[in-house]
Amino acid sequence: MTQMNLVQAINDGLRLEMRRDPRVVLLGEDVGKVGGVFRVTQGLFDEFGDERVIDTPLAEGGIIGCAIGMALYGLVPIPEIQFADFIFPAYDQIVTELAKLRYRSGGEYPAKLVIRTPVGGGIRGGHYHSQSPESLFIHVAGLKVVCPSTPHDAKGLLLASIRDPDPVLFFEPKRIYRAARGEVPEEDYVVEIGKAARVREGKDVTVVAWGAMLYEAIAAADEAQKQGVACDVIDLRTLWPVDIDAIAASVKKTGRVVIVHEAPKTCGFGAELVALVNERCFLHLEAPPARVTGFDTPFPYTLENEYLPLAHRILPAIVETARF
Amino acid sequence: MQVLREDGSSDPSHDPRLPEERLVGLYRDMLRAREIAALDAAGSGDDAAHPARPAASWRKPPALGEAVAVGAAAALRPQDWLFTPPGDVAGALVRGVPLASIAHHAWGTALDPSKGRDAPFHVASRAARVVSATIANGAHLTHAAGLAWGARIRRDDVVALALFDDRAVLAGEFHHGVNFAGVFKVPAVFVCAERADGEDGEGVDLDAKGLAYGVPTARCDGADLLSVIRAVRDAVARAAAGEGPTMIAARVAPRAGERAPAPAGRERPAAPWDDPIVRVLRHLEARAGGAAGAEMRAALAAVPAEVQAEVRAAAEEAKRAPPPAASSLFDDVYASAPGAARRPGALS
Repeated sequence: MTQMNLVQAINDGLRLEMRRDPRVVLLGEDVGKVGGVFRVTQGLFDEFGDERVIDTPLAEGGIIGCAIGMALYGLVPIPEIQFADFIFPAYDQIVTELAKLRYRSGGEYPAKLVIRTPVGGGIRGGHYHSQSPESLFIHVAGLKVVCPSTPHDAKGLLLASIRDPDPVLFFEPKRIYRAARGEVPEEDYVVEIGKAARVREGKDVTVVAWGAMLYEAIAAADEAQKQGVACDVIDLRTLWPVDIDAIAASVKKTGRVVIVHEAPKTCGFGAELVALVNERCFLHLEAPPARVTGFDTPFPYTLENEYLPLAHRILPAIVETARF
Repeated sequence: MQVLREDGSSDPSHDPRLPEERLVGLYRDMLRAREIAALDAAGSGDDAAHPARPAASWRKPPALGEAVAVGAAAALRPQDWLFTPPGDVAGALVRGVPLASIAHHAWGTALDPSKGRDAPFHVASRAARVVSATIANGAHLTHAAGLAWGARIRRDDVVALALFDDRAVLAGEFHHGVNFAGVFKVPAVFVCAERADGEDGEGVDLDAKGLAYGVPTARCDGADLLSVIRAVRDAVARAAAGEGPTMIAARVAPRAGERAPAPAGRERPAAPWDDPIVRVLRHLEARAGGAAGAEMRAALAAVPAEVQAEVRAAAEEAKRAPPPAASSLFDDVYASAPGAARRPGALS
């Protein structure tokens, strides 16, 4: 075991898989010589060369389109989109081509990619470097969506994502790229896609979060504990396919649920989670499901800490839900 | 670059010298492609007989022209890959996709290799290395560039060819595909059916675009099968030799109604020679001249009726086939869809 941050854990996972599987190639803006804008691919260019760690033109549609072509030939490309906010020029390629190729060709042409991209706010990046577009991809059948919050899960989920036969959007919470640290095994292991983790156990309220907001949810839950409210805190880890069984089991126990995410509230993934909870746990609910989210505004620059659903906004929601 | 001449001979300096049997096969594929398109006009796409089906029909967008699609596909080697535009089945026919598969695909039947999921004429066949066409304008150029790039990374002698018309040149994906191919010098060939629809007969000026991308542009006559084959063969050889991508401008006649009015006194009615199928037939007939060719001439004369019969029979068979099972709706969304991977609430 080694202490790593999120950046180091993802780098370690990429290196391990590239040594193991010659089909894996990385491509994106500055992923090669520079090692990525956040240095996630640092050192890989030197080890694997410019045919497997490729600096591309600044054109996301071209990056994803060419990666799809490579995948059609049997490679396993891992394109990096430098910020999730830059993914929209490639949205047509992801939605119209990548997600549908297997289906529309009757299984003739699967196209397997892992699209890595930093996500979320908290780095003073304004709306060009801070958004959380996960629900736009969860909505598209054919894609899997992953968002780890710990270095251990980041490496294990990355390896699982690369070996999964379906295309995966791998969202990396940039706010905790270096702040999240933990023990990471040096060897090969996977964290199963589609499995949530319970990181706090309590009988009163279920709190569901992922990515950087997991730590805010934990902080709020710890504070709530001091007020006599014990929370089950669930780290989703995989957003789609969502581990609804884990959520439902917890909500049936607590009867109360608070969902936390950075993306705007309306049609955010929390809306789907509330619907799923209602469908499966309606007769167990003791309080209306609550959502603590970003606002229905563009992501702001100066006021980002007002926008983000930080612990001080989560705590009242937990307490109010507990006392409803 | 014209190879076929009006008298039925060919320019020996550019003739790709196909065996007669091969050329007759390509002539047959050109006729098949046209017959498939004509079925719609004949009303064979009427779906009233199968109300459970979507409006599948032989209706198709304007094709590239039979010589461009058939010639480009014919110039590929077995290991090469073809990316077709939506609506064009001619290349798939040349690559060996059976007529019956195309018919079942068009009607979205239980025997459609695409399982009734794609619009008609988006033929996908891994065996034939014909990639599922996309309606997103020009997107397949990026896929062709990426596939060629992947083949080079794996050190395989494989070329990817994308067929498109000049509308794709308007899309950003054209820029992405050709630019990435040019930057990384991948073994790709981009074949554009370029319509001379301006008053001055100018098209979209692929020469200027190729210059910008560092991709050489070749020209051929898009109504001349042998001209297309010659140009594409040269480009494939260039790509396979590691010299990078080529764009090919295959000049074709404008779509009906799109040509600007010709100046007074210079109008020219469409002539039989404008028809790419007539050109090939005339050449084949010339090769089958004299008493020795009587049998071949008789065989050629029989081809149109044979093609019409086989296409209509395939269509009728497809119309009688059942639609895919409703349970197949959820297949192939994901490769691995245990438990929660299926959408909650799905019919499972």
